[in-house]
Amino acid sequence: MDKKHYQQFLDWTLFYRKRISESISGFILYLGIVFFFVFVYDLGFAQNIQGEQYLRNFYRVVKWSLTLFFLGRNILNIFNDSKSLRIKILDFFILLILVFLTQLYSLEGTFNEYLSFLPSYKYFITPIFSLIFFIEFSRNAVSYYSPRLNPALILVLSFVLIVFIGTILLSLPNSAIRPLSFIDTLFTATGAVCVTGLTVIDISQDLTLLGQLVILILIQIGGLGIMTFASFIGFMFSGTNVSFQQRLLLREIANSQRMNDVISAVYKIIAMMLVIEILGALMIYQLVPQTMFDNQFDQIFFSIFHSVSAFCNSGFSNYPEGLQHVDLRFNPFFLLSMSFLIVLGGIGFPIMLNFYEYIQLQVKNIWNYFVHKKRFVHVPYLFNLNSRIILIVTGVLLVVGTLGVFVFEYNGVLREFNFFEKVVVSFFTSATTRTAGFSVIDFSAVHFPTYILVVLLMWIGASPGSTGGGIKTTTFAIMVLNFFTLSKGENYLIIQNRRITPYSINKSFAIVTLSLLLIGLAVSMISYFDPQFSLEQIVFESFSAFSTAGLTQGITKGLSGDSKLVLIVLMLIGRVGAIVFLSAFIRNPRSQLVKYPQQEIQF
Amino acid sequence: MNVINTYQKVQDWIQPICRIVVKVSDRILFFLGIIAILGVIYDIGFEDSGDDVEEFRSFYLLYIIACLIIGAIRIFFNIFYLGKPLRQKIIEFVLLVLFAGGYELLTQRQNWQGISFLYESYIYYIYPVFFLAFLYSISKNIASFYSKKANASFLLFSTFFLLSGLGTVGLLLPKSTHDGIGFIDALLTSVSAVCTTGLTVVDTSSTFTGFGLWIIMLLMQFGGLGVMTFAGILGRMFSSGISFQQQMLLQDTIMGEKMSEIIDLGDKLSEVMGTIYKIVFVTLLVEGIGAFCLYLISLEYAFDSAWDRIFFSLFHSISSFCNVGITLSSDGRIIETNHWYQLIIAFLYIIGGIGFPIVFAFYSQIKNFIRNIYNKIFLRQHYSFPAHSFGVNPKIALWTTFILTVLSAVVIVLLEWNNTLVQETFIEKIIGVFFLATTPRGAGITIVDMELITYPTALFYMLMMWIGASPAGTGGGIKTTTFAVAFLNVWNIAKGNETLVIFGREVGAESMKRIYAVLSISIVLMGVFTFLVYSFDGELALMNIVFEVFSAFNNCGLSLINTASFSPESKVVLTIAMFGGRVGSLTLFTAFLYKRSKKKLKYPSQEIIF
Repeated sequence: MDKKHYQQFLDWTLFYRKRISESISGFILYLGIVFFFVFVYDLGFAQNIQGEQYLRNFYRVVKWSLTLFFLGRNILNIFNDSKSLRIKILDFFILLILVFLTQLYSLEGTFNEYLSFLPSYKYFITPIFSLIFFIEFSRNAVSYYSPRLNPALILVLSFVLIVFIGTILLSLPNSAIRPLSFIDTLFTATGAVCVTGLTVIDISQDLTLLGQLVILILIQIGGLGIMTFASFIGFMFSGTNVSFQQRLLLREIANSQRMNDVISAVYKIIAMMLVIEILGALMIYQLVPQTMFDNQFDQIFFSIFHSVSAFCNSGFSNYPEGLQHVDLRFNPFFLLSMSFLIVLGGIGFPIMLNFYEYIQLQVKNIWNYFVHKKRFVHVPYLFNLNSRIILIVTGVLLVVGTLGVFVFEYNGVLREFNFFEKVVVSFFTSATTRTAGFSVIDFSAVHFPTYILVVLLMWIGASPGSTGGGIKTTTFAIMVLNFFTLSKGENYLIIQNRRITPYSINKSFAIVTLSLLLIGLAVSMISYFDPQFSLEQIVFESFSAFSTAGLTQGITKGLSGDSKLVLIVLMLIGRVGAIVFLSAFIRNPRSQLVKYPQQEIQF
Repeated sequence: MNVINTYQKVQDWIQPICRIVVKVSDRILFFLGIIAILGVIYDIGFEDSGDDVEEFRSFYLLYIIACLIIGAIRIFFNIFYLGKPLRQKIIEFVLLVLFAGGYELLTQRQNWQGISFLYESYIYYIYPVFFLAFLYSISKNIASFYSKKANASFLLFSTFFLLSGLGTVGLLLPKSTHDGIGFIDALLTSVSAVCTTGLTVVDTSSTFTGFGLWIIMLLMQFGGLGVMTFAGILGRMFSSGISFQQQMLLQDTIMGEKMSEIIDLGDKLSEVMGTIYKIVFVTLLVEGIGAFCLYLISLEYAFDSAWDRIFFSLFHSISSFCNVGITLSSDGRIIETNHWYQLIIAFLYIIGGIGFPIVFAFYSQIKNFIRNIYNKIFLRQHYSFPAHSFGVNPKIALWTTFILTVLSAVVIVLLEWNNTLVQETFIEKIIGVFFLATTPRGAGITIVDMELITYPTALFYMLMMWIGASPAGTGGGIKTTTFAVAFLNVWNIAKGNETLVIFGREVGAESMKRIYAVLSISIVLMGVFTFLVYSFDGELALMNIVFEVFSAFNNCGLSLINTASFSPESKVVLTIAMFGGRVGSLTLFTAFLYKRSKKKLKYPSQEIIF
């Protein structure tokens, strides 16, 4: 067959190939949904022997169907020129794995004798299936983004979806040791997804390992931001067939200014996050005493859990007593490494990317200097204004917080520590209030100045594009500088030789206003539902929930269901961002074509 | 030709002399005036026994003679002095005639012994005369205090500061109180009255004598007027975009100097002066009508004398209109049984708080309506409908006030209908709801026991106190327009717009920055004040303290607990909060208008991520 005929054949089969390809994708998707529910059922409920048999058969069906589908897709791939090579390789790789699985896992449902040390086929095969389905789902996820859809609404809905999935997973009988009420489960799931850290249950006592694992995954997804996650996966596996408008949408979601950077930024974010979390887990593993744990697995899990929890600014701990345990509280180096994880997580991905670029440039410079004898290249304004503001404000707030806690509590809650520990605990507290939410000291026993400082720091929160919450350091900086600019009589708000646009000021203003209104509303509602608590406690709790910090004066567990619901909504709004949350429902920009006359407002 | 030349020469020679004479005599009269006023205060405040009546008489006589001599010289030079407007010359002449009358009264009183009223009560003639002369003197000399470099914020600050100081001294006079009053209490009461707040630490009616109450009433009146005039004029300048230099000139003209330089600004000047006159006129009119209504409604048997009843009505009318909230009923609540009384009070403080631009608009509507009816009936003319253009600001203020009132009413009905209002009849409840819904936004008069209101009501009240009344009104807070812009900005940003458009007008970037600053600084300051009060009075519940600080800073005057239960240090903090709240927002408004940056650089713009 010459080339011409081959081409004709291709054209002729194009329609059918497309149809088959689409059906394969559709089948895999539906299979994936079914698999998900069955898998959840399998995980969540204790199974008898007959149930196990059914499940095994089901997994077998899944395996064969998947193998079949991927075989078909790979055959189609041979004739498809529009797909990128990377995707084709991936498809082929998946097929290889599936074929490999058929060898590993005999028809009787037992493992090949070489692999008999593995506990059960289930723990081996189901994660692989999950991964395959997840990749498949993410490939299609990007095409679900429609430019007509409000990105804010997508963001809000995706968080809500994850919260509900988390709630379902936590409600499974195998997740919890004692039965939890629906509101408590919902609260815990929201707390994890919104990286808040407020709990109404005791994670170490009430949840099984499965439950804790669910929490860990929820924290990770929530911390990274679901959209970053989804867009990463989507881009990684769907190649380049993403429309311009979809990219635009993703740019808005990923909070990045430069369009082309979005994809590579997302890659870098994931990479950096993993590196930091692994390093953090190693450090924590080294620093905690082995006597705290029954076995090594517990210690490893503890390290990973705390590393992720700290980096994602979540504040959950899976150890009874949390960080107030004697071996942790009086362990300054452990606290320091946790503080660094918190600060790194809270400083935001944009600035981490900035650092990455900076280090990359310096390394290249040094390499060029010594190897090629080239001169250093200076890139102007490598650290953009946002990064500078974030760095300065973060630094100032850390120092102020540390000094404040140290001075106010020297003879207060810090009494039991020695001088070095006092400094470290102050630093840790300063870092953790900026929305991580681990508590080493008892926040219900602090003096009033510390209380105000902590509430203020929680309200300010972390930096934009980070895992933390609050109104964000940049908002706070604009608020403060706006005041001083006015008092100096400048016409424009100028920071580091850059004029801040009126829109930025308005936005900062809106964030501040809305945060205060929402917190005020929440305080009123909680005080209505639970009048037995004092204003201090309720205000602390509300600020903590809105800023997704997770510090508490100890009233969370005693709150009524209505109040818990208020906090759940508040956490969700706080994580998504109050303005984004509002704009999810009312986004409808005015036409830019009409320009109205200006009017100054009296006050 | 020759005659004209000679005249010119004489003029050149005589004008500097005139100027020097006028300046020197200004100073002398000013200091004499201060001495005289101090004497009067001493006379009123300290002397109960009539032993040294004669000494005071001769003291006053001496002052009058001195004024007459210097005044006569001035009048003589005034004839030739060209650098002075005719109006001032006339005022000076009238004052001189009044002083001559005083001289006549003091020296020739034996001849008038038949007219006992004048004989006994000569003070009722000379005190007002002295006061008028002193006021004129101040207006002549004040320019040297407020030098050209001083700006409106300094003027504002010092005006309120002086008023508060004078009030404190006045209330400390032995004659003001029955049993004396501590300095801090007097200071707090004075500042509370001047800053139209209404927090009191002593029982007003039983602590102060009639004289003391007069002082408080005057302080409230001046405080209220001061706020309205400052806010009104400066606000008008800001929103009409008059430049810095023009403002400086206008400021000078208000002080009565440099008339020659502002000829081209005559229109603006007359506008400003006209505004002030209008403010004073409308204020007195509304207060007069209010007092009359209150007089009619109040129960006759509740008072010892008709004069008491008149004073009671007047005091409450002024207290309500100026959004102060100091009342004369002993438990801090106005006549609880009389609900029509409450209704009138509510209307008074709403009119006072809504700001005079809106009041003017309504006033001219009513005036026009009455004129139309008059014309229709007597002159058989057709109705005329003048074009009324409500500006954007009054529109925002009116709408916000309306919405907030409805919202508050709903909240009060939900939370207090069966709580504090449970004993009232239906009509009384309705009036009570209306009263309670409007009082936190500035007035601070209460008709229920504040200790019994629910927790969420208290929180809601704090929000309402913070929002406060409308611009150019007597109420406090960050103002309805500020809140409206803040709220709409949130909505606008969420909608995805870049600029905020209200009623077909784009809100200026400058306003936005200022409003943002007002809002943020108010919260920061309230936080600081709360912190300070809490550190002095840690044993009190935080709720009570926060409420008190909100009330003080936003010039409302409600409190959950008796303000007297705070420690002296906290009282000082509250006093500062009241003063800061009153002067602060206006200062932010004005202070920085004066120092415009001369930077010619233009920086690249940058968006910020949040």
